[in-house]
Parts: sequence; structure tokens; C-alpha cells
Amino acid sequence: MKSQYILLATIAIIIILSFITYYNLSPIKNINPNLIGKNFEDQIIYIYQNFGYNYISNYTSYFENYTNEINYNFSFICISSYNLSIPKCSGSNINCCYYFKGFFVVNQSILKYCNESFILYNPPNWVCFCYNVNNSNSYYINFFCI
Amino acid sequence: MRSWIILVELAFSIILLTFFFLYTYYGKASNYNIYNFNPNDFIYLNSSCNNNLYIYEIINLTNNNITICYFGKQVNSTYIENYEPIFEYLYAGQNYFNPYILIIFR
Repeated sequence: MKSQYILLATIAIIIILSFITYYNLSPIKNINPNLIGKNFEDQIIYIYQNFGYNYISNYTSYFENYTNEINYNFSFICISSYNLSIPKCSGSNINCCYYFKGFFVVNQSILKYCNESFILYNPPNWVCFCYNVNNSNSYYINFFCI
Repeated sequence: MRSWIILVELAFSIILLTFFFLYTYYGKASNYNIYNFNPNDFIYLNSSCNNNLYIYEIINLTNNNITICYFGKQVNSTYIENYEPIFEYLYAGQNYFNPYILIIFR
């Protein structure tokens, strides 16, 4: 009789464990900081090439709301010769590279337009974005110019 | 004798659970790995549901309209309850600026 109880308890524990495993694993890694960063970069380039730079500001606000909804932290700053109407991009002397200074694992090619005091100089064009995507597990940072 | 049976039962269950875990973690997820998708392949999916290869949802951010397309047919959200999202992207628009979120299910 006693061993039957133990058997029942074992089965119950296994069923509970299976449910926990299943529900913990079902939100699969269908999204990650790398993809979100690439999404931002590709679409900013697409907008600039197809719709014009005055839509960029609008897209960045949609993008910030979207990343908040899916529980990611997204931040960026930019430097541009156009007036993009983005407060974070105002002024022509934004210290873009300083943005990366806190992240010591930065690919050196990102910093090729930065001088020794981490100030952006002579980028290829005057629409450049530095951005950072992260959640509790991982992060992605990058820099691009259009 | 009985305790032996319980031990064997326990071991068998643990082995089953391990296989289940491995299948869910590696088999199912890696088949639909995100790196297999190219966002440019999906830019032509729109809310008119004219593509019968995918199950997808389009959230238009300008007017907050949600459209769910199930293999070329417009359906309501009950159709996709048992499917899981495998790809998600915020597009800026196709021919004009009209931002929307695309989610593909499988």
C-alpha cells in the first residue's frame, strides 16, 4: 500500500515537472537583441532611401514603443546634417562614440570614426546612429551611417 | 521487490522527461531558428492576405488595425492560438511610410 502511494506521488511529480518544462520552454528564442538592432538599422536605411529623412523621427518613436512592449531596452543617439527633429540628435557635435565607452567589448571597426577622446569625426555621411539593445540576458550595440 | 519496481519506474520516467526536454529545447526550436529568415523575403506580405504560404499577423501602427492571415485567408485570433511566433519585425512600410509589425507563426 505504501509503495503504491510512492508510485502515485512519483507520477504526479513527473507530470508537474513536464508541464513546468513545457511552459518554460515554449517562448522560444524567436527574437533577440541582434535581430532587433538589425531591424532598426535596416529600416532606417530603407526609410532614408525610399521615403526621405523626415520620416526617420516618426519611425524611431514607433520603434521605441515597440521595444518597450516586448520588454527590451532600446536607446540611441545620432548625428545628422539634416534636422531630424529628434531631441537626442540635436546639435551637430554629438559625442556619439562616448556612448560606447561603457561597453568594453566593442568591435574596433565601430570606433574607426572616433578619436582618442571618443568624439565622432569625419563619418562617411552626416546621418549616423549609435544604438544599444538589451534585455536581462544579452545585448547588442552598433553604429551605422547612411 | 516493490521498491525495485518504483526505482525502475522512476528511472524510466526521468529518461522520458530528458528526451522530451531535449526535443523541445533543440529539435523544435532550432528547426525554426531565426537566422533562417531574411526580412526582405517577407516585405511583400500585407494585410490583404494574398500569400497562402504563411500564417501571419500584421499590426498596423498608424491605425492599430490587426489582421491575421491563415494561409491566404483572413481569420480571427482563435485560429492561431496553437501556433507559436517564429519571426517578428517592425517594417517601415512598402510603397509609402506606413509602419507595421509582422509576426509569422508556425
